[in-house]
Amino acid sequence: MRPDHWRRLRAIGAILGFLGPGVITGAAGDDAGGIATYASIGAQYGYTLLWVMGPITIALIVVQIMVARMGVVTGKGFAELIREEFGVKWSAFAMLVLLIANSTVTVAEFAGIAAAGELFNIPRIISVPLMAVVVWLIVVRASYTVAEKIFILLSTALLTYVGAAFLANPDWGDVGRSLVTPSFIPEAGYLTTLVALVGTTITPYMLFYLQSSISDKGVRVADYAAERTDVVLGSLLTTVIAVFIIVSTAATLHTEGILVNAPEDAARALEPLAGPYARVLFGLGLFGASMLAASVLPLSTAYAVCGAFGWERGVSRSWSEAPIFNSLYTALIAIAAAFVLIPGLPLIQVIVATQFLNGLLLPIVLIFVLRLVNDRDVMGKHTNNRAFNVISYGTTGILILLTIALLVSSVLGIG
Amino acid sequence: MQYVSELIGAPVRDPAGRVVARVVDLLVPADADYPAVEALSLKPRKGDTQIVPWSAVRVLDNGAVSLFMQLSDTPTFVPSRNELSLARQVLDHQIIDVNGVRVVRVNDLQIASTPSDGSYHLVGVDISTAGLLRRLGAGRVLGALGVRLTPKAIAWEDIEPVESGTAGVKLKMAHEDLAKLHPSDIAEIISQLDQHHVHEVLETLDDEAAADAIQEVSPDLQLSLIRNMEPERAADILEEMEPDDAADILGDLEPERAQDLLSRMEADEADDVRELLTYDDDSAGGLMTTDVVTVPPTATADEAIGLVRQQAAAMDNVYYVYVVDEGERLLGVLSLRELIVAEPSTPIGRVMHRELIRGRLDDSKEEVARIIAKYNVLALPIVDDVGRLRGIVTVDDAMDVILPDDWKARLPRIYSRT
Repeated sequence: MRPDHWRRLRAIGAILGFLGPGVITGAAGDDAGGIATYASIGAQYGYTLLWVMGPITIALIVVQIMVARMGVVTGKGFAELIREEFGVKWSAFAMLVLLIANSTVTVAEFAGIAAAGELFNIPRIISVPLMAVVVWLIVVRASYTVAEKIFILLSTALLTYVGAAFLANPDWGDVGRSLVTPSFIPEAGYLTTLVALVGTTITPYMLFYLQSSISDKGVRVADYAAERTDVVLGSLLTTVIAVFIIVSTAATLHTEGILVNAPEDAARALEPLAGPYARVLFGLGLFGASMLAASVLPLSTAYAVCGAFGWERGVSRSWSEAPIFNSLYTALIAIAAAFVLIPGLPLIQVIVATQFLNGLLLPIVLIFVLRLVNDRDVMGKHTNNRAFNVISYGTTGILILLTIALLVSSVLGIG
Repeated sequence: MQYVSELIGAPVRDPAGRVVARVVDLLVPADADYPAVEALSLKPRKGDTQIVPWSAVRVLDNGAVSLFMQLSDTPTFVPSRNELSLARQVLDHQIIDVNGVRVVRVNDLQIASTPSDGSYHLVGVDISTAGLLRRLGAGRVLGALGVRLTPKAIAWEDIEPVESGTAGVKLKMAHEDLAKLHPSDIAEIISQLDQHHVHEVLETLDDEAAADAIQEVSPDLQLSLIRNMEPERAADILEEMEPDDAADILGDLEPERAQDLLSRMEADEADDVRELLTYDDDSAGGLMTTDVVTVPPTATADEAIGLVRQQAAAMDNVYYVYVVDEGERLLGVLSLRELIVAEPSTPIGRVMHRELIRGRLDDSKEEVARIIAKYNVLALPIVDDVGRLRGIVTVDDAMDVILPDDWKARLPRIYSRT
């Protein structure tokens, strides 16, 4: 949901009048996974984890710029590039990682849909299958453009977190201090949360999606600067909104010792602003954000996998023309929806767990990115400079260290 | 028959049987139908990659590669022509299947030996999923289960590689087979290719062929192709396009860029396009083309045929001849057939139809499409407020209005839909 939708978003921004395109782009970047994770973090840890948002923003910008640059310079999608440079075995591995990552994110989006439904007293056994069919039809019937506008519009309801954060009267001094003061609690819960926070902000799927959309647009190297500005702005807004979600949930829920165990808990953080309408507002926003991502994820996953293996692909190709593309796309939706229907599934916890898993898988994807972006045969003179390599290798290294620390602590039974 | 993927990474032995290097790549000339492998790129245990001529090695059927001399004594092959590096540029990359009119990914390449002189020739491209599975190492597992992988190969002769030649020098491959395809087929191919390769393919087509193909791709792709082309070339291609299609593209470009391209186009063509640009996209004016054949009512049928011959030379489609007075006002119409069968000396004014089906500049495009469908005409004349003929809307453009979006969006570009 980033810069490629610029033109469209600008049009919607103009309709809304008061919202700039960047704001909406950023808001749309925070999907069900992001909302649930940020809200849980605010409720459980208060402002303690705010300091991570600074480094994450830098990492997000750097990683997205690298991927955008690869799209511009090579004119190829990420999956295709992996295939061409690393061969069949490595691309099979990369696609497996992508499939796992993206199916879990799709699960998170359907969990978001279920959660939104339950705020309106619609049981998930009705909302999830219904919306699975809607998502499937949106793409097949090619009415995606209109649907996307509606979802973006709905998800802007989540911008109210910004207002809610102010009205909750947080101690801004405290917020400011927490933003710049690193803290570290050596326990498994904290580490897990840290990984989930990174995993939801920098998702593997986003990297594939961004490169594909930029290469499909055919941006010239000369016009790359404009693309980079969009990427930076979009990244900044994603994390700024994340900060406000954390602040508003910290100021309302954390102070009262309430954890986000159910969607209505996350909605309560909007009460300072919306009062009795908090549930409605949160429900609509969550629904829009979830549907937006749910209608893009299965499609772009099928697109990437088929691109890597050279199978026929495209939304308008029939089942007989593109059997693998169509079955993959349909299966992703069906499996994710079915998973969410497991009786008694704790939605918020499942969403956060999927983001954690994405955080674990991210280093693998980042290593592919770094190998490619530093390859002179691929990038010519547009390889990474030292600062980019330090930041991105650093991010990768830290994530791997966190994973190892978690493994060790769970094996030793600490935390 | 051997697979290139099985040779890549294979150990290379010296005459004493010691492994001294591994195979990195195979080089073939880019322009032959079934090119002979000319050289091998080897990575010694220590040191830089060395390219050796094919004659310096012996390849057994089981894939064992051995050198006739020590690697240090083996002559180096100097690439002299346009060579393709099979592993770096073809294997795992996209190629164009000219017969199948599609873009496919190379899962493997087949080489076969010629017993007479011991040379190996590149014969086929494996594009099957069986080829993928074999490279994943699943062949043995499946074989144990009794499943045999049958590769599906297309002849090397029937494909066009898309990657550039040796050392990053643009190949300028003839793409002769490609140029022979129907513009719609070329459009189908370029809409499946990676962006950079599209431009390489377009560079090998002449302006007219490129224009015909670009007219057939999705509006998004049209825009990005024209935007990313050298301005001179873009202007040349726009000139060759029908004015209404050119106007559609220019209308979506940034105004400065559109002005720049218009100023590079020939004056007449540019004027037509400029006029079309002034109309609303959704109106008859926005849909119409200015390529119209007109004759005066006083001309005889014979003279009129001469006029048609002059005017129609540069037009793509001519269905009707329109009769206009000195003030360009539309008086009547007749089909080409009616013109040809008319008595040569008859004035046109006497054989033309006077009950005219026409559209107005500010009619909606849906209205225009409806009229064309209702009256079953191949083209509809469009007139202004005072009845002057300003252009025609042809049936193919009207069809785009009526047919649902998903039919037009047959191109697999989910990311760039706007």
